[in-house]
Amino acid sequence: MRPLTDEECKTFFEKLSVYIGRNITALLERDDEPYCFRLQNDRVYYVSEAILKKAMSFGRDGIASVGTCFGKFSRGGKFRLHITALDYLAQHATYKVWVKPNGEMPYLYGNHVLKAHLGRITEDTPEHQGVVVYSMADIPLGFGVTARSTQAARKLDPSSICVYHQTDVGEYLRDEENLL
Amino acid sequence: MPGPLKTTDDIVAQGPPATDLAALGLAPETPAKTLSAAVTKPVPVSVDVGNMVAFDDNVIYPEQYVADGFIKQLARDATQALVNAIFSLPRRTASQAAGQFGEGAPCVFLPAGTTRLPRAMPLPSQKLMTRWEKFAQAKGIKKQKKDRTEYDPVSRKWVPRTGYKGNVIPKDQIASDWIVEVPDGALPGKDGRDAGDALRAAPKAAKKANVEKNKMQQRRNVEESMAMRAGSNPRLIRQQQVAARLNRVKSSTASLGVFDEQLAGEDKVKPKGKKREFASNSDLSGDRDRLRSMAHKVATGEGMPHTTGWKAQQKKRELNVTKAVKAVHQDSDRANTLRREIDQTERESSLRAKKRARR
Repeated sequence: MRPLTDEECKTFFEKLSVYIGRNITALLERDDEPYCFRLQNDRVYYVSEAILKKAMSFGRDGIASVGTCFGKFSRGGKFRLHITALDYLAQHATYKVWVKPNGEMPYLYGNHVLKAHLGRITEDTPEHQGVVVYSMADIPLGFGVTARSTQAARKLDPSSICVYHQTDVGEYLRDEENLL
Repeated sequence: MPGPLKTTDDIVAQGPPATDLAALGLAPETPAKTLSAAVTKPVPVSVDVGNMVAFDDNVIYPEQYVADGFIKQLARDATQALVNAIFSLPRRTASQAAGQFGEGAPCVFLPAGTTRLPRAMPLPSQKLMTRWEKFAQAKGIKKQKKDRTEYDPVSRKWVPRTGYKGNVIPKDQIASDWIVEVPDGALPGKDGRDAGDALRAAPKAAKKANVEKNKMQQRRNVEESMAMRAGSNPRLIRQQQVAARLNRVKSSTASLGVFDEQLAGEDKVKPKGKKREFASNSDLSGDRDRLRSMAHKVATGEGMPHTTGWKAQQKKRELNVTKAVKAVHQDSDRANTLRREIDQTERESSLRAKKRARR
């Protein structure tokens, strides 16, 4: 376990800022308890400093996971967000998409969000913007990238794609072995 | 200078000339009669005839300087002094040099200039000695110049060593190696050539090797002189280069040099890679500050290239007016062509209908 290098930090925060914009600072300046990011086996964990202090006494092989895993660095040096980061993304997301109840299941099986299933969308969402997907009851389901801006989406026919699927909570079942 | 020069005979006899200035076109605009050719100054005007320059070192008072025509007067006096000096030089009649003034025109040869002028070019840098030059100096070996000619015992003449009519035997007349002595027990070469061929080829190979050696030495001399000029020790640099190369060679094995056999008496060269360095895991406050500043940077786009991140996204969202105008124009163009095509087809179909009606 080690802190992120400046280069890693930059890559990671830039990826985060696609979904939560300027709110990345809010993750580090919390009122309750200080939190930080740590790298362990190419994965970035969001850990409270109290837990970190305890975990520091273990070696790399002795730690399976600590805190919340946000995602992993690929071998090419890019960062890939995992569904485990959804809780924090959902709290701070700048652009949101709500899916109708009849669209929840298709989305949770890994399909894109269609116009027909689009319940609501944040006003002025641009094209290719990272968004968090919620059910109509405000339960976060996953995140993705908009295929069209809010205005362009209004004119779309019901069967065309509005939001490209990236992750969904169904991965906890489908992709369990890769999550950790 | 326009017009023929006047002879200087009488000038030398009587002192400075009185009327020559007008003839030379150098006379001031003021009437020449009032001006004397003799220039008298408290400090005599110093003249450098070689560079054709005159210097007036007399003190100039401000009120004089302001006065009208003073500078002109100064210039005239100095020029007069220079001309006087030129005319006081021994006169010669040149046949060729003064072509444009006609043969026998008087002329003077200017002496070498006395004013020291600055160099146009920087001083040439000192050439560093080659290894041989250093050795020769230490041993007191002096370069002996060969005579250009040499005695040829065959023709019993002194002939040039090289070049035209030189003592160079044409290539096709070289007969020295048409027969070579093969030592006892010499075996034919592997490539099927006999021992004689190999013997004949030996001098050529030796010459080639010598050229290579010379080239290497030249290169070494250049490298060493460069190092010396840069103020470093060439021997030390060479040692470092060898060590670096050895290090690279040793680490170029499958195990990156870890399991290589150590040779007897060999220095232990440990292949070194770049060591990664990370911030301390336990320095929580320092890490906090670093993360926060980094997050702030990414969030605001400060000190970041705007290719990715928040700022870049904002930039992407701004309306590109040029692009938008172009898109609108293209759309209208497309619409116009479409309309024209529709009109055309409509016209044709109506014509056809009319024709059909006529039938």
